[in-house]
Amino acid sequence: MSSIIDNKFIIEISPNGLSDYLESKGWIRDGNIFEHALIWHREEPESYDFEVIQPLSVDIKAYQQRVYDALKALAEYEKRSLQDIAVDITNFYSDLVKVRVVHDDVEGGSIPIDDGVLLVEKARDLLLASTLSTFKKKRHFSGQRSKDVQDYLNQLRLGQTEVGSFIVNLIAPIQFYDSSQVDEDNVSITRSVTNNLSRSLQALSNSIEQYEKSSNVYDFEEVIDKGVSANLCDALCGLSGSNKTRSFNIIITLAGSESDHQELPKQFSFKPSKVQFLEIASSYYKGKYTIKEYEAYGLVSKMKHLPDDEYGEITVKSLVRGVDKNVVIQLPLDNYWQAVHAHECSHLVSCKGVLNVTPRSARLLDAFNFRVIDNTIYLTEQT
Amino acid sequence: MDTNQRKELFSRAFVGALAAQVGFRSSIPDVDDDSVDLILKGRGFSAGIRNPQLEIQLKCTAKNNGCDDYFTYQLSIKNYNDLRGDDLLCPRYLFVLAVPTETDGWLSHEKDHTKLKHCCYWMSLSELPDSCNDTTVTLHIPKVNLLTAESLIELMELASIRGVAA
Repeated sequence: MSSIIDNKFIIEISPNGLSDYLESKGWIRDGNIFEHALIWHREEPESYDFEVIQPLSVDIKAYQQRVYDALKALAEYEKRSLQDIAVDITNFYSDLVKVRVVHDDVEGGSIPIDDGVLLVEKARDLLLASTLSTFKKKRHFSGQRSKDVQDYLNQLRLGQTEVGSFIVNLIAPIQFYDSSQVDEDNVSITRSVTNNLSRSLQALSNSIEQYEKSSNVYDFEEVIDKGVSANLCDALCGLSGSNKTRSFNIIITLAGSESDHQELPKQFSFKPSKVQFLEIASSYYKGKYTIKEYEAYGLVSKMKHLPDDEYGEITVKSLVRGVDKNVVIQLPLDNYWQAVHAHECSHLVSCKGVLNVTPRSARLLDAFNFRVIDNTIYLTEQT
Repeated sequence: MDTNQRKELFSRAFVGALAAQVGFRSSIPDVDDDSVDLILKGRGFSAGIRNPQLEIQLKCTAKNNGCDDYFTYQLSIKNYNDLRGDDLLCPRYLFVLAVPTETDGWLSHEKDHTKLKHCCYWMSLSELPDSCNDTTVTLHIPKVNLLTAESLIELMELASIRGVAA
């Protein structure tokens, strides 16, 4: 246990904060020292010797030393460092999201200034993304924020940075206010957002693992319901720095003032090698993605061939993820003329290749295996 | 090392030895305090406060003033005020160790024991009145307030029931 602690931690500990912390940890009030302090003990017989004297006012003589004494007693009982306990008491009424950046160039507790600014900005974006998806699950958030979201964001605070690679602390005070839009009942909006962050990071980590094996962007589809969005992925990418070379950890600490029984994971690690997958997921959510093995299948709706070109372009109405898309396919001229004929006869065509989708277009690249499907027999049988 | 530093170390060692004898922890304050040199901590008491503490202002002097009943000591007004008052969670005491003028006389070593000179007195200032003095206050410490293993335990027992010895 460390016995050295910065006085700033002591100053930030209020008598009430200490009192609430003790109560939440099962300490029992067992007397007082006049009107100056409360005496706290444990109920368990084996813990008879553990005692905390809690000052009731910051105005008593040697207040800081008495807080120090209380922390030392708690550190001994909890077998934790003084500093950890001081941080927990200081943030007793707040959930804490800690972003720890790991790299050789941040070892000394400093960070290149541009990356420092980016880190803070993206840490905020991380909580913004989590807040947005707490109220509504969506693949990509843009435009104006709702009042509930803005109210929540307004009370977020940036804590002091810490050495230990480079650490940014985001403090989210526990707040209850009326809202019927959040997922969970009977929890504060803060805790809903924090739990949503935890769920979404876990879901995203799992979907990245799946994607690494399958190369199938649809692996990212099902985690939208868990709160994953393009905004979350972009924020995470930014935490790796402008060169995307830093590992980072996200550590969630829940406020002691609000109980929680969900046992969601609290620590997440992202290595630089994962950033490329975050980018792929983000692009997918924004409607930009690639399907490596795709077969376009449908009627030809448009044809285009310029006299000097050795190729022609056709547009086929084909289903992509259950939605009709106009897929543009570049074909060698012999296939192109077959497609023109198919169009005249209302025959279906099919073609394989790599499908590149953007929000406004879909294009089949490296096309091969073009076929015209004579569907007249099928149509006759139907008649 | 100058004499004042030696006196400080010697008085700490004296009280530290007594604390060791009776099983109290002795430590320096974690937070700077001009009027507290040492904290003594007991453990496992059965009264209201199970782990009582004493805060000690240590002084060491070679001036053996006073009479048969009292030892007189001039304390700075700042220390005087810091050791008084009822807004203290731990009782504060002044310990004054009287030593011979020459450091050679502080300890004498015999074949079967070591003699330490002279002795230490304790005093609580908690109930003393305000002083109009600007620099120092002369204290009359009863010589019956001799600091021994027994008296140190008594002070700690008083602390455990939230009392301060007069």
